[in-house]
Amino acid sequence: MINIDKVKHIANLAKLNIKDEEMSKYQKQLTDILTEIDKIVEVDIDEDIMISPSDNKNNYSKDEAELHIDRNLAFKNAKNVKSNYITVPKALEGEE
Amino acid sequence: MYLDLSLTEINELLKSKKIKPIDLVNEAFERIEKDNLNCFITLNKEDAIKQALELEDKEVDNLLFGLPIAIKDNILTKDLKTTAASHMLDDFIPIYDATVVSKLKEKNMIIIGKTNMDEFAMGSTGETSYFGNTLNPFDNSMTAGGSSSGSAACVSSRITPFALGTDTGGSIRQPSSFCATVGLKPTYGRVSRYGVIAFASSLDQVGPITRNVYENAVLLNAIAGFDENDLTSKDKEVIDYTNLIGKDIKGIKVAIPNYYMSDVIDKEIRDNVLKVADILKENGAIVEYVDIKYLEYAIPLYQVISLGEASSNLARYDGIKYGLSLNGASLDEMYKNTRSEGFGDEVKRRIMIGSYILSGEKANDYYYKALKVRRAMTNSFKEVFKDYDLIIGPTNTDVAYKLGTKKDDALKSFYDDLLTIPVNMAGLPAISLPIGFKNNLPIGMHIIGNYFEEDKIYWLASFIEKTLNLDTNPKGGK
Repeated sequence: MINIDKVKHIANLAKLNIKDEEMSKYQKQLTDILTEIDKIVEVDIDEDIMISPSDNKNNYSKDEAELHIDRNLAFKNAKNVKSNYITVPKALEGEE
Repeated sequence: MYLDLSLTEINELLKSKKIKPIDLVNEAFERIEKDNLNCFITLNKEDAIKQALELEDKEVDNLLFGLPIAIKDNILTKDLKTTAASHMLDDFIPIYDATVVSKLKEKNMIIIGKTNMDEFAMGSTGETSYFGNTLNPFDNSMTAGGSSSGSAACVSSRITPFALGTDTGGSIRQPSSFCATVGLKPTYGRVSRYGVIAFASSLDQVGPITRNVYENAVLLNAIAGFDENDLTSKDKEVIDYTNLIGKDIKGIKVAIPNYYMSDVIDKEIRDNVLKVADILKENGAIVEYVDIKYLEYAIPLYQVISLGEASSNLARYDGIKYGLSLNGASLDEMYKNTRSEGFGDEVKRRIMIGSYILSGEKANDYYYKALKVRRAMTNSFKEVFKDYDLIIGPTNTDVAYKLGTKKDDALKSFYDDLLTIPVNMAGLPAISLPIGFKNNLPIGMHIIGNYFEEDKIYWLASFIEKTLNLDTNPKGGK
């Protein structure tokens, strides 16, 4: 069974809060899945990796500015819009 | 009741002006009102009626003209709420149409509504939806399967003849199997993913769910094709996928993987598949057993690859650009508060696992190892297709089970997809087709084809459908 600190670490990686009362549930469920996943580690295999079934070549677009979406449309589903900006909590440390 | 007629019959009636698209739309909404299956999250009634009336002046120029269709709620529809069955997106209004939706609109199909599903397509029962369970039309106490639960239940109960689903590890085929519908996952790259809410980008594919094989092929004809907005879509000619339907199957070579007939599958399910295999042999098909390597690793393989990709794709739900937004003292707190409130348990579990296995050294142990197994399994499929036209087996290990059965079992939803996952890993096309019943619940058969050979799948599927001639309507009457 993985320990509580590991559950907290994993939740932090996924940017999630886990309530104290849910901790043991996630501890068990994550352990169950990780135990299953460990079967893949045991496979002895020497093979090229396969990231995608697609064999398409990358197709770069030209490095030119284009108008893709109107600003008002792009902001349609944002919750915190002030004039031309979306506002977020302060991200950098230090003086205002 | 026009919606019980076949596609070609409805098309004839529309062409001869004996009925109008509005008759079909009204009938679909009458059926929705009587329905108790919770197939839909959002209805498009006003717009559908308006569109149907506008079509009255237009020429009926294709088979799908004026036909009602339901769209899984992880496929973007401009100005029509699209939630992916998540609290995170429960007020999200897309500003553009997915390419598949644009293609349906070009055919003048009419979108009736957005169907219920597992949250972000993560689940195999429909039970992880923020909007409640979808019920199985054959027995309301049973799961409809998932994640395309509403799309399969809606077609099965004859509300609409057509629906779109998405399939990452079996999400079209598994509910089709539980609801006696025909559901196809096309070859990876055959249908554009542009405008489809991403779960696992190297596995996701949109496909048709219909009442029968022919109508499935007609809908694939409409949605297939290259899209410059999705560079994983293939620039390869779209053929008429109905072209082999009705042709003799004599000499067709069919493989059954030994693993698909092992005792992890319920015996009655296996017996039904073998019964069909015997019918094929009697009609001149060659049916033989084969081994496909690494099939037994399907579940951990899927967990590593799909959850790794999911954790990355779902990182975009940050409360800033769209979707649910909760306050926080810092940016990090805002992310965490928003995501903890917005995602359900299944999604949280999956993105936690995905984030963990991609972190630091874990990526080598898990992710790169899984990508090697994926290649080896795919090569093994390719070997089989050197000698055989198609692969058959059961879609699922058993029929539908009671809602709530294993809700707290974190592994259950993965094991439901044991037989369907390998197909997504290799990127192959596959269908689920109803072939019988166990305790009055449908049994699905799986037919897997070689890359871009969906027409061969329809060839065999239509033969089986015609030969068995089952009544797949949960209320009877075909």
